[in-house]
Amino acid sequence: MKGSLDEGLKTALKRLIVEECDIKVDIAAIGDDDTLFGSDSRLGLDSIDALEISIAVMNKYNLLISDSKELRKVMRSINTFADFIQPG
Amino acid sequence: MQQGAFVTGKAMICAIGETPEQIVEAVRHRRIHLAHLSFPLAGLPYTRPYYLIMRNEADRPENRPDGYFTEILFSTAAGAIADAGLSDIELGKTHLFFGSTSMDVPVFEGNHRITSASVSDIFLRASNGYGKIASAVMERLGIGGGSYTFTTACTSSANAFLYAAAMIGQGRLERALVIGYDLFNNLGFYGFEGLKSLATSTYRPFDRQRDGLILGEACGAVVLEGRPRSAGDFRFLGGANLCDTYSVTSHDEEGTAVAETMNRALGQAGIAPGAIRAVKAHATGTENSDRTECAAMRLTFSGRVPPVTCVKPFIGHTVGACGVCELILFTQSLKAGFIPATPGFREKDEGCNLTPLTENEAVGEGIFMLNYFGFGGNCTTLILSNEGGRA
Amino acid sequence: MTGLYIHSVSAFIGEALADTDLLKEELHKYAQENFRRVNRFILLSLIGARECIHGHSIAADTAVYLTTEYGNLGDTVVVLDEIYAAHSLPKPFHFINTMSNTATFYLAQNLGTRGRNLTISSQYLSFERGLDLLMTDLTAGAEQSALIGGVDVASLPGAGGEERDTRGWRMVDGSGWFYVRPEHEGACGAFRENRSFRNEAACLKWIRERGESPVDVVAFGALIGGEEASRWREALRPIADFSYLDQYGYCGSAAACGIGMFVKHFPGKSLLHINRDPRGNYAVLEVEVF
Repeated sequence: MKGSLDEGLKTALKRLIVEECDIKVDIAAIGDDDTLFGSDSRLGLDSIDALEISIAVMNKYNLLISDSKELRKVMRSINTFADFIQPG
Repeated sequence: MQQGAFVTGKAMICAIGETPEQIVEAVRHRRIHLAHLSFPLAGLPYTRPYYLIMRNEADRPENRPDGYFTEILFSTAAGAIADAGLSDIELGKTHLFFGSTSMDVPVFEGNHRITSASVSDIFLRASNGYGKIASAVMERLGIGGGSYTFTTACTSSANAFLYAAAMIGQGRLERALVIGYDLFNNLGFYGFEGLKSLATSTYRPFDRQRDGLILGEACGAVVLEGRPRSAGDFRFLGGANLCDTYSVTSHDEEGTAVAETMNRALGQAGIAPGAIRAVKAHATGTENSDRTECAAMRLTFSGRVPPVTCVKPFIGHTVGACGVCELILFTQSLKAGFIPATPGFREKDEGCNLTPLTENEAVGEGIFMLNYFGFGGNCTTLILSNEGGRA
Repeated sequence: MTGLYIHSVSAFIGEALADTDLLKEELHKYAQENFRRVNRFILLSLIGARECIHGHSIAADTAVYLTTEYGNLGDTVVVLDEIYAAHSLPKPFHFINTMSNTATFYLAQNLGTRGRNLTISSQYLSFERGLDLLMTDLTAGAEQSALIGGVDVASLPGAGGEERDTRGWRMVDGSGWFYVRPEHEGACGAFRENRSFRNEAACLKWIRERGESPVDVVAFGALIGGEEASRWREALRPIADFSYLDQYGYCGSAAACGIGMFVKHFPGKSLLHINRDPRGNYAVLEVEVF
């Protein structure tokens, strides 16, 4: 199953982001297509958050994202992030 | 007789040599040695370059004996003292200024290889505060006076130098030994890789193709005194430190805070920007830091930037040690009659819009600016001069 | 030593190993922002400094001097475990926070200041050495106001234990801060002396020679034992002892916290604080409270 169709995976990723980045947000309030990075986004994640998440992803899913530009592309939204983790 | 703070002795060990003379010759001829290290503890499938001290096989990190950390430290400190020719009585009135990022972490990591205890357990049991290393140097070498240990990330030993020089200049102290020391440690090597800050193959500060920093290890020590001992001893004219609160890991790319640091240093030195003969840039080779620094230099020098050199491609980014180590490398090269070129630079970057020296440039006496920046927004500028030293 | 006036002071003492959420609650008394990625050491620094300047408007070029024995020890341990036990790259913010100057960064960012920003240490004399640097900057005209503090997380078993007199002090978190300016007007106290001596004899000689200015209260650093304290009392004949270590507990920055407590609680009195390092160097601070 493609990651963006897997509700369980998406919830797990939302929880991972909130925990790794120390953000006080109810995960139910994060939309699957919400932009994750930048001051305009609801979560307002920055480049260090992206690195925090990438290390957590490496440890939890054994997936290596070594390029920081690719990292931002992959983590544009919860849906793109989930599809990267689980391409289907 | 001139009054102020003068660099009267120096000693250094790094990837390209264990004496200032060796280091200057390696710089002149661009003899660079890069090791490639892996991340076995994290099981990563690649290596990253590193500037290791490698005099012989015993220097390999996995071969380093117990006591390696202090051997490098004590011998470098003793070397600077001998170079200045300090007597025992003078040593008794010397104060110690120490700057480092990793402190004694390499010792605990080394102990881990020979015991079954975890590194963090060893660290918790044995760590005795940041000031312990400076105290050990003083005890070993018979240095009296007070000790000041600076932990301001990559500006640590630059700040140690700044305050030692300022206190001597004000007559608060007669003499100081300033040490910058960071030895290879996994905490830093893995830590910077976690930040995706490490370059993959070649150090290229300010270059369009730059892809990060390459770490290095070094120990550098200088003696600072109120009077010169030799013609040509560099004199501290002024300096400044401030905090750019833009971000904990990066700077405001407009460069205003960095430029303000340079301007405050020029103000303290009582000179105009046009009096600077050359600049030793901090030039880490990371995207944001290089752009910021170049923007700041254009602001400070109103577009007429003097010759700029980036010296990290010779010895690596020696983090907390870079303040003293790059000062020694730079001033010894100047004494030898040249401003070093920047190895690895090939192509101007539009974002930086600044070309550092690509060939060694002949130089006589002059006034020079040395810039240092670090995590936590810490910015430090030093202004040194060897003008009139032979007068 | 002239012209170092204390305009405000704080001394926060916290229970060792208290939940960081409690520290965040404490910080919210003085600052409403949500602080992310901060650890115990940074929280302690922010609590003490924000309490100190509460109700004051501070200049944009105010300098920050943080003195500490152990700094961000906690995150260093965490990162070593991430590498050596969990076999992972360390998490970026754990690694960044191993550099103790992140605490002064967050403080400067929170206060909106852009002055000098230092984290320094000197075995058992960190606070006194920090004052040396502050005086150097004031003399050079590099600044007109400064925040100087001592911050340490409760020291861990074994850390420094061999040298310290163990008189059953309880281990505490401590963060003591002083907002200082060169002008007398509006000040609540002053640092009158900050002297260093090579040994006990040199220190005693100075104390005997200054005879004309008696002190009200004496206090001693952690390495000065009972017998030695008696010798100092005999030389100084103070009205009282201020045993801040017995009263509030020990941390690496106990001296800064103890002196802060004195300034808060003893108006009209003067304090002579005698401290020494393991090599037998002495540092004496004289503080007058208005």
